[in-house]
Amino acid sequence: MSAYAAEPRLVVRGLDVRFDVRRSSGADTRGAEDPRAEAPRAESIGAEAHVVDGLDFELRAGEVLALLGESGSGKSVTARALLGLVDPPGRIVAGSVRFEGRELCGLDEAAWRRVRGREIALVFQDPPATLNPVLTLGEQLCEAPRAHLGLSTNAAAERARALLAELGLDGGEPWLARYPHQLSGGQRQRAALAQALLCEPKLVIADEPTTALDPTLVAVVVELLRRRTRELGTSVLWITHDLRVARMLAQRAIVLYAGRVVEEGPLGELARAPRHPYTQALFAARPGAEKRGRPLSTARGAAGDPTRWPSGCRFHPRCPFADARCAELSPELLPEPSAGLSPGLSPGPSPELGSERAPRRAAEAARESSNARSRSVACHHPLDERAEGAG
Amino acid sequence: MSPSAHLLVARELTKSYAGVARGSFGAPRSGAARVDALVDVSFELAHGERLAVVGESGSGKSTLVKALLALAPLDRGRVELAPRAGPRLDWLALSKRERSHARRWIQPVFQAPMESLNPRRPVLASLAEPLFVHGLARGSEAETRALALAQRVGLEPETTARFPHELSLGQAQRACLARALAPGPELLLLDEPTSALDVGLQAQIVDLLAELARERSLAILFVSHDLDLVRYFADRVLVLERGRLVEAGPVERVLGAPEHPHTRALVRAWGAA
Repeated sequence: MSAYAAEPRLVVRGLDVRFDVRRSSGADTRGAEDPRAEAPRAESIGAEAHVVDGLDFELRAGEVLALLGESGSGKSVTARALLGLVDPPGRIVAGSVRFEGRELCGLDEAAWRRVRGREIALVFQDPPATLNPVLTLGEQLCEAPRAHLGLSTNAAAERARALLAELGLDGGEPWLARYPHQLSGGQRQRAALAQALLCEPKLVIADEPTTALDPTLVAVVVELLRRRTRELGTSVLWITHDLRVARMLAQRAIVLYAGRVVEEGPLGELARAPRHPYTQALFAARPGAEKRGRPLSTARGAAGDPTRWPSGCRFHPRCPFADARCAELSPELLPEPSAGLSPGLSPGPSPELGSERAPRRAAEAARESSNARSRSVACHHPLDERAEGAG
Repeated sequence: MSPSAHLLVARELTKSYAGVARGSFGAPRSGAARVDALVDVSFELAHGERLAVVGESGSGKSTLVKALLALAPLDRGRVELAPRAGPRLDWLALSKRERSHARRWIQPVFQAPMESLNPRRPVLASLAEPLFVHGLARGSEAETRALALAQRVGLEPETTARFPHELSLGQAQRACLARALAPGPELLLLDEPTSALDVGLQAQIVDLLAELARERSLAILFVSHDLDLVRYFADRVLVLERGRLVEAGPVERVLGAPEHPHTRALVRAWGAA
């Protein structure tokens, strides 16, 4: 890790992804999050869906960064763009993705093949679509370690068995002889995760990897990833709308709304003192005993059509605090002057995470970086005013 | 509430499946042990009460929902149903014909809203159908009532003219709620009703469900992995482990001071961090 101390492991600048929806007649933006969620309707044919708009972020060795946002906010497209997997009618219009000092945008397919799976692995949301239905788990899990690491079939299988066992797939079952259809949803999801982690990639991009898992298994997955970040310095980009799991694993989060970052900062701080009304609505929506009897939802409706985002602050049509200015002001993502200055208020990782005993360089680096980068879209409604409104 | 206020009384619900152990190519292996999906599960549900069912994958939650909907025959057990607006029923012992009438009292909402709507009919037709089936309205009156229901759950009239694949996930789940409400049920059974939705959509649907339950005095039985949702929404909770009811009681007590080791493990896994 120290060799790259000068630059974070992953540096994304001005990433811009658009989908030409002319050709895909009808309501479909394939690859743009869940195709069923708020897809552009017929009237938007002939337009361009601006799915990711000027995304900037950094990720350090051993750090877990959560990418939060609702369906249609551009999370999954971001994941694919980082691996050069945006297919037509989508394309990366602008931006730079630097991984360990090397530019990835514009690599040819042969170069990409050496990066994908080996250096950067992607865990998809949908394990049935990840796993090959006509191969056993053993056949598909061992392929990458043999190709990338030159392991023998036996060595690869041994490694796969050990990792599956770590994920709770042990107990004498011949898991590697199983076909995907013989597994439950939760077992498939863990197999897909194992496949991504087998080559010990430096960066894991996980797109909603725990949605099919019950809480007991989520805890197992979280523990495994935590161990990987600690022992191997693996970096994780954790794409999710599950704030609870995000807080279990990630130190820092980026909140994406309508293709743009609206806020970034340490997760604990975002939850405690959200600066942008969307972040506030996102955290308010999470149920809990203390909210009994009160409505959860403060943002009405949905973000809408990516070919025609609202002017000004894109959240304003749904924002309970919006006024006329919100549709006009061009919002800017500003660094938060307060962040990082007061050590008492900037603990970095969420409190639950801070209890780890041994000092760990990766976690230290992550903490520093989380102090260095807190920013939010300027909202001209002061937070205390909003707090009154919400109460 | 007094015991006579029970809408549903379930006694000794029991169901086992043939073992699922499989050999090569998925062929069932002979001699596999039977799996207990439900073992002597008994509980009551009061009118207007919100009951959550929690447990790990494979604990029998979905089997319980299917059993209460009389969609999967049980090996043993009895369910008594006492709707306020109808006669007392021995729910599982009804003939097919009697039960199809009585289904108006218990209505389901499933996890995957898209797959729960008829893909070949506009949404409005799916909303009006329960009204026809239960003889509650016909012709233009059914349409008017279906439109009113759609509006109540937040669907515009033009949305109801669309087919399910043209809806967003949130709209589809609203449509499923409207359809469930159409025949005037007293109990909604929800199997992970919001787990396919993101946190913002989940909040909207949960809020809507709470409003509807209040204004129609609906009882709700819902299955969820989300203990925070259970703490927020449920009055009482049942904890299942391998088909057995290991703990039941008020939410604050069961999740706040769990007595059974399995409940403790669930609560711990939820809070693990």
